[in-house]
Amino acid sequence: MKTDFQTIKVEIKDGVGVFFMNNPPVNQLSDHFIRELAQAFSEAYADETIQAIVITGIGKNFIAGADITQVLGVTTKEEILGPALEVTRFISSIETGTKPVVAAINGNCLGGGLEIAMGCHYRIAAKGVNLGQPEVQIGLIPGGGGTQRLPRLIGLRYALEMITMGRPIKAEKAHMRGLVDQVVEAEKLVDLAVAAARRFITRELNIKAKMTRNQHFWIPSAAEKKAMMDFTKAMTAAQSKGYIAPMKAVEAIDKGLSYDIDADLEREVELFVDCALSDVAKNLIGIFLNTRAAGRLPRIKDVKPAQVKKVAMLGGGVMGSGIVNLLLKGGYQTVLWDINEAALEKGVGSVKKTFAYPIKKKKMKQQDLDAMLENQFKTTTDLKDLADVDLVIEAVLEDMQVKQDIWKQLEGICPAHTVFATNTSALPITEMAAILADPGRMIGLHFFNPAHRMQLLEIICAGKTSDETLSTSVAFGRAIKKVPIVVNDGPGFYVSRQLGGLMGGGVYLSADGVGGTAVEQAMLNFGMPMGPATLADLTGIDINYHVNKTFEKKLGERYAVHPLTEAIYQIGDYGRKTGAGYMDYSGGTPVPNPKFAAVLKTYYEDNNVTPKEVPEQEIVDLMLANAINEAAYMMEEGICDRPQDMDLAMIYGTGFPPFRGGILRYADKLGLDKVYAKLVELEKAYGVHFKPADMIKEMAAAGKKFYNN
Amino acid sequence: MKEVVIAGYLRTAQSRSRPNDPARDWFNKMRADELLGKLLPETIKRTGIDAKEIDDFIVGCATGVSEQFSFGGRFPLFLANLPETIAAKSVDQQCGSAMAGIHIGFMEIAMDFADVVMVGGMEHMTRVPMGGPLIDRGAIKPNMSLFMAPEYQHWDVMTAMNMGLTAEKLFAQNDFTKEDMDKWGVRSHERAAKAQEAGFFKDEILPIEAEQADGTVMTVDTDQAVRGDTTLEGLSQLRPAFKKDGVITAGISSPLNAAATSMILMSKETAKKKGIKPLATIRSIGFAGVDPTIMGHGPVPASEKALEKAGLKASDIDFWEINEAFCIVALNCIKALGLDPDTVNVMGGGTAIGHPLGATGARLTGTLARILNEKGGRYGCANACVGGGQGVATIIEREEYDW
Repeated sequence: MKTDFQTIKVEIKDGVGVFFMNNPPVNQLSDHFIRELAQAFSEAYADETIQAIVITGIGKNFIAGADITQVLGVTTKEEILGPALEVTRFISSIETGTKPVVAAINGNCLGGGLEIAMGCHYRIAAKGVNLGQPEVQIGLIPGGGGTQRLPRLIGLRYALEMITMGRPIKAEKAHMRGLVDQVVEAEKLVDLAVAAARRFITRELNIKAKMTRNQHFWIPSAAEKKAMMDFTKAMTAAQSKGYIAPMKAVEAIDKGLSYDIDADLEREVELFVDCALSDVAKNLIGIFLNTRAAGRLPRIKDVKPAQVKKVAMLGGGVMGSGIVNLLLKGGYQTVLWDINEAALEKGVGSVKKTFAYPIKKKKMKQQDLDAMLENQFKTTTDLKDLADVDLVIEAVLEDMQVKQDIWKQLEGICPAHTVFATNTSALPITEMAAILADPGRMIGLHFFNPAHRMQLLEIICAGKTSDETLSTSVAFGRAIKKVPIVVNDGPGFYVSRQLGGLMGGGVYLSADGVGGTAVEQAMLNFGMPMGPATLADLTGIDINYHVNKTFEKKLGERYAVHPLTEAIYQIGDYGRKTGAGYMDYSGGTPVPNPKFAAVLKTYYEDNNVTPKEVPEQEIVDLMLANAINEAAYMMEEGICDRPQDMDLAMIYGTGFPPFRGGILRYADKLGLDKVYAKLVELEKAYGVHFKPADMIKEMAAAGKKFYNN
Repeated sequence: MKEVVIAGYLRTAQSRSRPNDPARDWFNKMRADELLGKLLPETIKRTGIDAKEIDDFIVGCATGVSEQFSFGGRFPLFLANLPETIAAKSVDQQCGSAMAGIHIGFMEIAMDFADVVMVGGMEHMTRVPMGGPLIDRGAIKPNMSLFMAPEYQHWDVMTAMNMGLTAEKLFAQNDFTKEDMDKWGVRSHERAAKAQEAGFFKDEILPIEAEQADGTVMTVDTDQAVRGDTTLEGLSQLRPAFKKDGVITAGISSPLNAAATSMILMSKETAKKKGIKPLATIRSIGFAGVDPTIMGHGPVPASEKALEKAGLKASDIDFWEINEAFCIVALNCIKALGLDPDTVNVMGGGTAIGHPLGATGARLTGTLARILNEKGGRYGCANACVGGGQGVATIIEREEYDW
């Protein structure tokens, strides 16, 4: 047979044809690659010197999934149904083929990769590799037999879990559950796979008995299946609002798992196509691809990031300790500085606490933490000890004077290449940098609480931040496994101000007589993790008030503090931290705060407002129009200019529902003309706060969208 | 010692199992415990007792692994939604399991530690295929020393675990011919078909609504493996099933089956008090071990022991139910005990009706009791060979219960 394909190299060992698959970057199943695979199989079937086949990957991946960029482009069922059916039939042809096929799973075996492996007659995996059906995470379902073969191999319960949640499992667990036949050392994988293939040749193993379609052990009885699926359908419906894929996957399993697997496979493909054509899938795939590209700005395309090996953290508070956690895990030499020994001691305690969860969950050993602290971690109260660090991250008191003092001192201590990063969440960074002789070295690295958990890193370029500083910061963000989103300096930067814009419509609705609970529920149903009142109680009503005041001062009349906001602030209950805010948290379960109700009552009486009920969609329309408008203002002001980054920031930083793609994706879907019309209507009703940005007016007139595609 | 009677007996039909082609098994979408769960409440109802009166439930199953794990007999009770007060146990004496359940229940009542005992049997040979497939999955793990270590070679476990090979060996020790076995096989199908036609089994089978592979629902009320059109010529042409130069074919072996069986035992005085007419009185039980490579001989010493304890001779027995795991087992037993073949398996045997391993013992005993009533016999003996080299036997007597 031909042994030299573009994406496959074939070696023949001991009567066994070994296919080494190599389709960079991740052996994704692109059209071309599948065609070559199919050709290699048909040639191997025809070649009498080949009695069995082993397929394995080169590098870190067996096959890490389909080429999802292909899905992004499809708009009609006809375009995708044919090719998808072809893949399914190809996998079935491996399964029912004339020669035994062993999957030697060398690395990530995900999505279509696992589906191909399950079409093989034997699966042998290298220790520690990942196997999974993660399709639901990008709005799809397994479309190559995953919903039918996985339950046959590991049973309904585990298959449902893997398919509806999308989380992969390690080879060892896969072996325990019966998904793989053998787990071996990576170095021996191919040799042992060939040995396994030879067991078919010697008839020790029977190809027919090892076809996944002939595995009946885990097929549930009709009654069991009904009970299990009724339960799963109810649970999935409750958990996956907005996401259609989990329900489609459940449907594929519910209607499938019969003794006519070929019919079940074709049904699965139909359901897969439904998902592939949905906006949800397009949004999620967009987010997936944009996340991979996050921070790769044209501005720094050719700017090489400086090497960062040693990092200083200033301040061991809540943010500081979370950031130290990231630094240690990232393998950096880390120095924690704080104002005195007592503060340091507290900081070290906080750092250790950030590791308590993984240790409790046995994801990490106490010895590993001890060794990490021993080898990588130092503390000091003397800024002079920071003379050899490559990066300083500052999270001290939110006071311009205090911060500037420290930076001024460090300028005299650190070498010229050291990047100065502030984690301030409110202070203008351009102003902070002005104290330095070289303001180009300063940048904002805005972590979100808890820093070691939240995926977003908002990187803020100050007025004079240099390309080198930015490039180094982005590379650092990626190295500590964050999604780095770059924006420019301005009050609240991007995320805080955008979140304010998303939640800020709530007070206008309240002031108009709409019940707070209705607003909370509307935002929850929209997909946000919480509504404006719950969020304010968490972040602090006083903090929000002061931010609002700052915005009013710096950004003008659109941001004038609403009289109702003022009245609520004057109550003096600032949220959970004071025991009460919109809700009273002093008892076991939160109850409405009577003081808030009283303030509202007075406001209604003074302003002749009568409580009213409005459709949920009306609430969502107002809240989102306000958010979109805010985004446009920020683009006009030059805070940010990349819709994909802005949407990612809200998804990773605030829990904006991924299935909606983001605020700007939502605006595009709605149509800017509709957004504009809504804003005009709202401005009439509620005043200048809703005045449409010029940009929206222009986009509406020109029929433009935020995204190009 | 108290006298113990069979107060009720009911079973499901026995579907024909095909592990490699599940769709053709009428019960392919029902588990054995579900069959039993549907059966038990009806048995209780038909016997005319209150479920709360049952002291113990003993379920026999030969492969109580994977989905036939019964949680000590409690799962079938849960599936039947029966009172929590019923104690339970699962018993494995392989093909003698349900009969072992009868034996234990008999002793519990006889010794006055229980008054009413329910016995069950379940086996689904499509969904839980015996032997190889379970071993491949690690659901059954025979000790490898038995196969490999020199000190155990004399057991010849390889042969002992392959029932077909034990039948070959039993055949080789006798002077029967292949044709003798084929004739017995044809007889078994003919008699079973005739009994089916006459409606004999109707009263012992609870019809079950079972979803079929194509999604339709079928009322399963007849034993699926019975083939009245079986001919001697047809059987003689089958190829050996267990070894190339062997004689044992699929046609003279019991098929694979799925079914559930049930029986209610109680003291005679309780039956009288309640006005329940028993099917028969249990007179004696027997169990014996034999060479595991000729396990088919097990019923002979087991029956001899039961006869001796009852003070009876083989010729005193009017009707026999000998489990036809293989036709040769019945022929061997007839010869060794000197029986009149016309008293044996008069309504057909396992070759036709089927042999759902652990569930079979209750069917043999229950069917035998009904035969005694139908034909007017007095003593009956049901026996079965047991994989691993055993035999079990139960002797019952039909009496005039004048209440």
